[in-house]
Amino acid sequence: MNPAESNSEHEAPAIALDYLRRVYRGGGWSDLSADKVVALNNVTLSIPRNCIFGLVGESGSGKSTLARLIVRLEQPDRGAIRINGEDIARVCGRPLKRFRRRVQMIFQDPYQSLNPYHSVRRIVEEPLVIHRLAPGGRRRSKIIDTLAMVGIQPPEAYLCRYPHQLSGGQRQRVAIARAMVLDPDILVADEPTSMLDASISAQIFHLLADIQQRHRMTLLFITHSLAAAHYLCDTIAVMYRGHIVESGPARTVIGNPKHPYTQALLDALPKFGQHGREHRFDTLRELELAASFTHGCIFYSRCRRAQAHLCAHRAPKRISFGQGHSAACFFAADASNASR
Amino acid sequence: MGRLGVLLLALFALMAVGSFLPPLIDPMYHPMTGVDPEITRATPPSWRHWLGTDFIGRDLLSQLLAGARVAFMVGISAAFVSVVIGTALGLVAGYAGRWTDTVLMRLADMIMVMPTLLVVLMMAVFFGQLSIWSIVLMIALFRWPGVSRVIRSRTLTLKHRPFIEAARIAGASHLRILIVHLLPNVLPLALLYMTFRVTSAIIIEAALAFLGFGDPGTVSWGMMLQWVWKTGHMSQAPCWLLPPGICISLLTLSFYLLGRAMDEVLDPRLRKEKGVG
Repeated sequence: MNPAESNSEHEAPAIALDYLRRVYRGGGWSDLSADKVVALNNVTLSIPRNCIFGLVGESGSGKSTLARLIVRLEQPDRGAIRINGEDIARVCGRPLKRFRRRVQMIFQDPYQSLNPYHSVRRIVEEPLVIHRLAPGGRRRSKIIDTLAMVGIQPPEAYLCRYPHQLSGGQRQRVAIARAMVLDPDILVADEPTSMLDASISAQIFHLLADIQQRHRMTLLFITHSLAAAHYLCDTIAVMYRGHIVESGPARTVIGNPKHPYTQALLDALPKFGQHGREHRFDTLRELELAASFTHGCIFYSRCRRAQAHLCAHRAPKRISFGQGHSAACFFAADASNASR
Repeated sequence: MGRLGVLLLALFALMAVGSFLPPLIDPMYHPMTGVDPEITRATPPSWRHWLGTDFIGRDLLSQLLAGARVAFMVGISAAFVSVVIGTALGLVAGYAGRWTDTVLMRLADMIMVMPTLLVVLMMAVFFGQLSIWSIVLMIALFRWPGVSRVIRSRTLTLKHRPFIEAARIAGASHLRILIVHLLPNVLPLALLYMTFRVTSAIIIEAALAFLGFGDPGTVSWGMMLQWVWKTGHMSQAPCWLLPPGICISLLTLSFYLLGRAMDEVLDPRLRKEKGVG
């Protein structure tokens, strides 16, 4: 599947993942006795340039692992990660450092992502020091400009502050400034607002959307909330247990979801003023089935629509619905009928 | 608590600095070589010798002052060397993990289970008389494992924190992460342990000197105690026995108090709470 190839420009996508696999091995001395957790299984994904791409999934679905692989905090067991056409899954040394300049990340917890012993100035300055950018007097003005861009006002007053003197929202803005000071092509935001309260979250969303517009970069936005993804993203991919189950334009995926898991996520959204209303799709089983995950569909055990003779034995292929919308379910094609 | 420690330390520092004075007033106040020509035995306090004299007529107060200088020198230099070694190895072991960690920590375990005093005693027997600096070095080399264990465990909890990962994503090298990011975060702990190591170094040196394996060319409090004992004045001359004993206890106490207080001063988060409250 190549949903992003419809991009008018004939350039490589910002991020292209090919059959990416990452397995975590638990305790034990040999590979045989160790418990394995398959965090990502054959993830294939293409993220076009200059867009906001939303990766949605529940806790433990592998979306953070995906982020860590893309920024190269970890290496995949198998598969390729192409950033602007260049495979970075196994680079090291000088090419890795060059790659570091282009891909940056914002972490979930702003209370943990800033060094408590470094001032705001030092935190934002560090990437410039490492990559020997903006030397001399230009460095200070670069730092101030970046802080102003992320909404730290007035920036001069915050240069000498320490993280513990900032609020959660300010910390996250400083973390964004640290990432943006390098002018990256790709920014990965791993649930950047889950530790912040709702009004601050909205501000951070606005800020990210604004930055993405102004800098013409790719924003990979990872979230557990379909509502946030709908609000912010151009394209969405839904992950479940290390698999991409559905992907496509945000409006289409949310307006006309095809995969039962996406439908279950939509059902789970709270609706104001409509208490007691029936679930729209009702695809989630109350009692999970016993399932073998080696062959069958990954969602089999929780899917109300699943049929034992089919879903338990064969993994569904991705079915395309045009405009880059695709879902991995045998019944995706007739799912629109079920939505009534 | 910290204030008491600092006050006591200031007092001892004053003693150490003051130790240069007596020999300048009169050569007979030199702690090692100065002998009062009129006295040939241990005497009680007098106007001429405020704490009395030892068995050959040397002034005890000037010995006590010189002992403070030696205690500071031994304590701080031994603690400094052991904390530098311990912090460096602990950081590297915790950050690198895998076999580096295993090798370094097994080495630390091996050294940690050796009783320092006994080993240094055997060294003294083996090499003959030890100079004060080789004693310092020996204490340092045997006292780092405790520090490195603590620093390693702190490093282990720190290295998966997002701010370390953020530094990696920014392109920081391992060396940069160790020095710029991890070191400041373990430094308060290292300094805390340094004050405790000062305490243990002073005690080990005193014990060594008391047992007769000290550097005969220096006057430490342990040496003074040894002279009291060797010349059979343990119960006859309280003015000779008590001051060095009390000084050893109080100096170790003051370093301990300082260590406790230091933890608060060095941590910016604790600093903030003080500012608010």
